[in-house]
Amino acid sequence: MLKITILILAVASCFQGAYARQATLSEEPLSDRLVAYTMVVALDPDSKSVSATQRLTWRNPDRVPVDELQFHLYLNAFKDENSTFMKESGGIHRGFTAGDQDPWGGIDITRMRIATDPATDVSPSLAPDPGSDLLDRIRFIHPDDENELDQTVVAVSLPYSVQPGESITLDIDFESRLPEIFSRTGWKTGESGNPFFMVAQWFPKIAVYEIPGQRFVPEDAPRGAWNAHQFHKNSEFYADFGTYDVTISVPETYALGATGFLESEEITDGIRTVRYIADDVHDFAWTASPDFLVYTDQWEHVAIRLLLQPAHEAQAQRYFDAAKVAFKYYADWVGEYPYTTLTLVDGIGGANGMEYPTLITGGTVYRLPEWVRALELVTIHEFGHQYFYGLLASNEFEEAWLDEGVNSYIETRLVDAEYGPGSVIDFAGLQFTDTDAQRIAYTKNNPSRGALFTNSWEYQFGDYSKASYMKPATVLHTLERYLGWETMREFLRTYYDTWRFRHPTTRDLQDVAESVSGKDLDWFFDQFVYGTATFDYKIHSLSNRRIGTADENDSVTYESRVIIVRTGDGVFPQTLRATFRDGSEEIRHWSGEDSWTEMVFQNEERLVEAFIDPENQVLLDTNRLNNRQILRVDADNSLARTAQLRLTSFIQQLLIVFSGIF
Amino acid sequence: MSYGYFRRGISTAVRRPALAGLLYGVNLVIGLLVTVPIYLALNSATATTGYSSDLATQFDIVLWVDVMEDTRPVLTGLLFQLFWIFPLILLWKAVASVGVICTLHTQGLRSFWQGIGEYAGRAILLAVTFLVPIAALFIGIVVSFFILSAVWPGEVGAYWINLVFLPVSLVAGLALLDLMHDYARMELVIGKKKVLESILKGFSWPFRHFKSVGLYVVWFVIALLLLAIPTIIDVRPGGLWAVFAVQQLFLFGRAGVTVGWFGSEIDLYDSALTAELPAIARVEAEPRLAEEN
Repeated sequence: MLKITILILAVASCFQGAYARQATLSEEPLSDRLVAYTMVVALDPDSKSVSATQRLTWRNPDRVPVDELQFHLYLNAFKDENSTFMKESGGIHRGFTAGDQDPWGGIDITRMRIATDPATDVSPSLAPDPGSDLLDRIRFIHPDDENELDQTVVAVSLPYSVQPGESITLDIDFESRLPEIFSRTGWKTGESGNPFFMVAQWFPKIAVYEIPGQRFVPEDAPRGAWNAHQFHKNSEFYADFGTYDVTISVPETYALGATGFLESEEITDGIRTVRYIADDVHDFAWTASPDFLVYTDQWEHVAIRLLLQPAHEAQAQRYFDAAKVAFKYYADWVGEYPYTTLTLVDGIGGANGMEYPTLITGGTVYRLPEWVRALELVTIHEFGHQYFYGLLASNEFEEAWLDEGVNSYIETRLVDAEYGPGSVIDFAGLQFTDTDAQRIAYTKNNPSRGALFTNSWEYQFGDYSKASYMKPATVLHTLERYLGWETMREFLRTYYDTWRFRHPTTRDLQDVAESVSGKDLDWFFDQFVYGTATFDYKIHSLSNRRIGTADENDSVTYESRVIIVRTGDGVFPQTLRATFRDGSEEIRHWSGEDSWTEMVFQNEERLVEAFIDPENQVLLDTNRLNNRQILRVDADNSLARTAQLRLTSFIQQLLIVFSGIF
Repeated sequence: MSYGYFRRGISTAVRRPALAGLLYGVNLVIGLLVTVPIYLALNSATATTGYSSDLATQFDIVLWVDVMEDTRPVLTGLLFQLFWIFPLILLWKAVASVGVICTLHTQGLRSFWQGIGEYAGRAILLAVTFLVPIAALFIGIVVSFFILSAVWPGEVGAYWINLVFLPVSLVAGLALLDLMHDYARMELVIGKKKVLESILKGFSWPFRHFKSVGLYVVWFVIALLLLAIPTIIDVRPGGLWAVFAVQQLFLFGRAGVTVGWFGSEIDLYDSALTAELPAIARVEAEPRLAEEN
């Protein structure tokens, strides 16, 4: 036994060693790597700022020259109250409010120039070179609104064009001032009084240049176009794949985690300097705090690192367990996780519940009970983004549902499969699943408002969350039940294999679904993805009429009628199960297209129950209670009686407690 | 020790099942007043759906949300009913307490209803006056909450403040006021004091007679257990009527505890009062004092 253990450990260490020095499983590039960033960064905890030097290489993917670059300066959303983000959010995001100590942040580009010698290492201090300086060529643009004061997107005109297939290298000096966290990024004081830094959306990030034929740029367009959007309250991100080589300096006492793998680490004069390498990713985030407890674990080829708040020490294993569950199911249902690392960050407040390539922020609370699976849910959900946000990398500004929604669907399926009927809450006999929670959050919240295919910032009335998370999850669960799980799984795997690293659109997803299933799904996507159709099929009535004897044995024959009514503008094929007095059943199908239909049965027994969608396959139905009807003579007061008796005792107890006050 | 008072309280409760039955009956009637409309609404929503027995035995949140949507008008209407139900309960508690004290103290010579008839007005005044310290308690707890939150920020502090400090201080504070209120009522009914004097005596009672605190805690724990057991029984589906009957048995027991509780407190009150009397006046009370010691 000991020998076997030693052998396993030896093999495992070799396996780990094989990937310890590379960011992905592959020796070859997995993506087209249009961008390459090399950054040298220093964190100043006192001023809550990051000073950095960046060398960016961008390759022109178009068939025509490009003479302008566009960049995201996401952090400028927190520059003042005039940014589009702040105007839209009112300083409140996902329940967190802009900090009252120092809410403001931003990026100042102090120098930008075309690198004269791209072969050299990036220098922390750039020598002046007026000939190639681009600083004066930077101008703020506002592609989405008329807000002249928003500074989250810049265009930089080049002194010469970048030829097709050629690259340009820029040297950029910038300083990022971090806001007090309320929306994903910034700093926050921890329990101990020490700072926690979540450094995300923190550097000048080149936008995506979409070439003809890519996403919605017509194949025959004369040239491609930059696709850059301002930072909105309801939008996340979109970027091209590439490589990141980032050297970060923080105080010696700080623990640090980042996208990619740790290439080197040294401590000099009280400063910890680490170098992280990440390949085939489209963003780079990092976190640092002197408070972090650091734990490590392994899942197959992936080194997992957990940075935990001390107050949550007892929950370390829950993080690892949740991550491993996610690894297992996503690998099985969607595809291989190609990276060699995953960093789990237990952050603070608004930093939590966010995804970055190979780094996710979870979130829990002190003494979270086991029966509340909030930690598991958020960890699994954020891990799932590694696929839909990270590897498929759809445009979250324009089609958020392709990330949040498809991921929510897998998350609900996974969580329910792993944790059972009480996957979300399992307490005192009250259980409900993640799928049910998402279904209710959609069907009972103005379901006819908010199409999945909508620009994120154009949602009104708080419909972004519903239309980007809950509705897509419910739509895809219904599609799964329509196509069958095996087909759905094949569709997910094919979609991932076909489109990873390629920014798929809704159309691409539909094409894969149709090709795998062999079905035309326009009717489905038009209604529930591009449109806002809703429906509620209900049993309007059921009745029996004796129509005489059926044979010489004088057995009576009944004619039974069931009327089904459709409300709403949506259409979905329906199945009706008719049950007769002797327990026999008959299944009928209906296209569901008309506003109502009548089904007539002839049987020796009375029809006693009519049940639409008896297998609970159509989760989009906005009311399930009216899907089923029994005869009035069979009316059953079990629920009403049970509820009444239980409530009576409960209210009596409540009265005693309440009267104790007086 | 408080044991003697407690034992006599138990025997009082055993001797007065009708009184317990009255308290229990009123409690049950009010409970039914609220739940009969709920029964009708749920029956209307589910009786012919075929889901009724499924929902009675297992929780399905999707169907329950549909049911709630269907019964919303009735449930909303019931919420408005609380505007008169709660004040009624409070009035009943105020007058029933003096009725119980009156009949227990006179060994049944005067009935529960006679007690109410004589002391109801003053008992209500007493109860309304007690709203002031209750409000002060709430204000004090809120102020303490903010001070503690400022001193102990963060989630660990929030956990202990919200889940430990707040409920414990609320329960302890209300229990102390309830104890004071009980003895104020006795000063009113037995001591024949005026309302204001009763209140002042009631406030000072636990400080002058610390045994009353021990006695209160013992009964409080028993009452809590009798209240918690029906909830524990309720959490799993089972034989509906049997569960209900057992729950009602415990709730009847809880009403009996109210009678016994008052019985003990009256006994302690009488003893304490006797002990404070001049020597000659104590002669009659000595047998009881001897028994206690």
